[in-house]
Amino acid sequence: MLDYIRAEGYKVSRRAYPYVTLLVLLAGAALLISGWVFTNSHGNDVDFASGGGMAVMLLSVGLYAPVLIGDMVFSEQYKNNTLKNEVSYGLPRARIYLGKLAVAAVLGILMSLAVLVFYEGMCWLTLLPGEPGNAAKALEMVIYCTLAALPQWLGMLGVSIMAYFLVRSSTVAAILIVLILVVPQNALKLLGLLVHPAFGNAAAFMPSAMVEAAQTAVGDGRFLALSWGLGAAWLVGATVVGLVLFRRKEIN
Amino acid sequence: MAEIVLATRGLTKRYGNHLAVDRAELSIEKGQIYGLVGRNGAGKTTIIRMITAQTVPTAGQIELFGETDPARLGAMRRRTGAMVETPSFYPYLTALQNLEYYRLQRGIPGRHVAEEALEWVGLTDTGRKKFKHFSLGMKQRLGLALALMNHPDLLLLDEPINGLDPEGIVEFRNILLDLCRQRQTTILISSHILTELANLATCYGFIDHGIMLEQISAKALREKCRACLELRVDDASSAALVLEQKLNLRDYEVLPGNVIRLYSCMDAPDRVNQALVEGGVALLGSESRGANLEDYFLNMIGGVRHA
Repeated sequence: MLDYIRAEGYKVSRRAYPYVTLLVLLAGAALLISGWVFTNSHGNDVDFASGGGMAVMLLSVGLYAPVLIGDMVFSEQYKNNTLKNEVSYGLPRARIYLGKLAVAAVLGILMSLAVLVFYEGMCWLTLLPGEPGNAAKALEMVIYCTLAALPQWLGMLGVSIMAYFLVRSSTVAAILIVLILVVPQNALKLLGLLVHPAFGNAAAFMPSAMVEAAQTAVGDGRFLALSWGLGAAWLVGATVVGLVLFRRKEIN
Repeated sequence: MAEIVLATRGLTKRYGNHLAVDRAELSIEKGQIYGLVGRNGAGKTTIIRMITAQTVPTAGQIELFGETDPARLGAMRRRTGAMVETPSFYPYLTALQNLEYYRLQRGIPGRHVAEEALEWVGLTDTGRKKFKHFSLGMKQRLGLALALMNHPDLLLLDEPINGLDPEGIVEFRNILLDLCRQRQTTILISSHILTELANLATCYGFIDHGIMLEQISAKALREKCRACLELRVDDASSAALVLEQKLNLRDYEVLPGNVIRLYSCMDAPDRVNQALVEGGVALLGSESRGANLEDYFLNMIGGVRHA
């Protein structure tokens, strides 16, 4: 497995894709911060606590990142027809699947960390310091919300890898991932209004609802545990389905 | 008895209503170059894809290096190298990077291994050129390099000379012959280019409509295809006596139906006719015969319009 992970790392590190994606994300963060700096130069007083704390509002965007991360690691293996080189050598399909999942998880976490650290660092350097107590609270919130969002991201990464392995077209797989993220939550909300409130309550446990709810639960250990439990359920569930179906999939 | 490297028993693949391979029986001995011959859609690629785990058989058994347990076949596949259909690699990586990726993935020790494999197939000068810019011939060579990288005991090649120029075909043939001679590598090769296959194979398997029609050694095939004069007479034993006594011929065989095949004196059929008539044997017909691999295959599947 380690050999497989090392090889995937070798491949991904030689693509322009992750570097370009990271640059775009960092540029987006820099643009946002330059907006705060610009408004400050025109009489506003956006300090580190409010600017840096804004990161929690952006964590939901991270739920869509697995679409890109999965694509980076899976590398259009059906289009390039490269999976046959792996299975014909006798590599177990479970190793192929789990190896890519592991590399995607590491890559996703590293990229998220890079963007977060860059954003908070730049806010620290360029925005007004504000009250020290507020800054500490903002940082605590960012760390808590990030820890609550991480399992949801990983859960969606599990869904993403499953889709890329089972659907031959990367575009269709990407659409499927977004649909899985968006449709069930909204369908449950609608059923909650039309059929029974229990459905609406269930919608609160979907990934994007959990990431949004984290802001109001800062410091709550039980919410954090629930978030990790639900994220793990998505990750394990999607991986089991993906592994079972990929085991007998035709490679051509 | 020679070691059986690869065997299939009742190997079957069905796609919906279409039976792509029907109970294929195949047996390849160590050191053989086995030519799998069949027209498009006959089932050659499907057989190779089942052996290489790209598709799951509907029924039947695969035996690799004596192992038939599906759970342990994976480990045996690590002793093989395969090139199935068009070679496929990551388009954004160079030849060396692609091979290095697979070397790492397969846990093959030594950074020099990928370079050595490129040297084998004459692709050392591709430098920073990415796979997406390779010609078909270069892609074929890289595919072979990957198949050879782990020094396989069994090489599975599906239409490997497609896209190679004449010089490339000769080089390719020499590589395979070297492998067979120096490393005792067993090779299963499917090809449409039967003249090329005839230069390589030591054994043939003929397949049509998913059914293995015949498995025959190159030696036996040469015997079958040997040039001869085929005589139909009224009495084969009298004719044989005449041939031996009057013409001193020994190189012949008597077939059922009063047919005699003469493997010498073919350039003088008139002498043979005269001797038979003088010996009181009625000659009902005579025909020069002889075939190459192509003729043999076409006869087997029922003529050129099918090929």
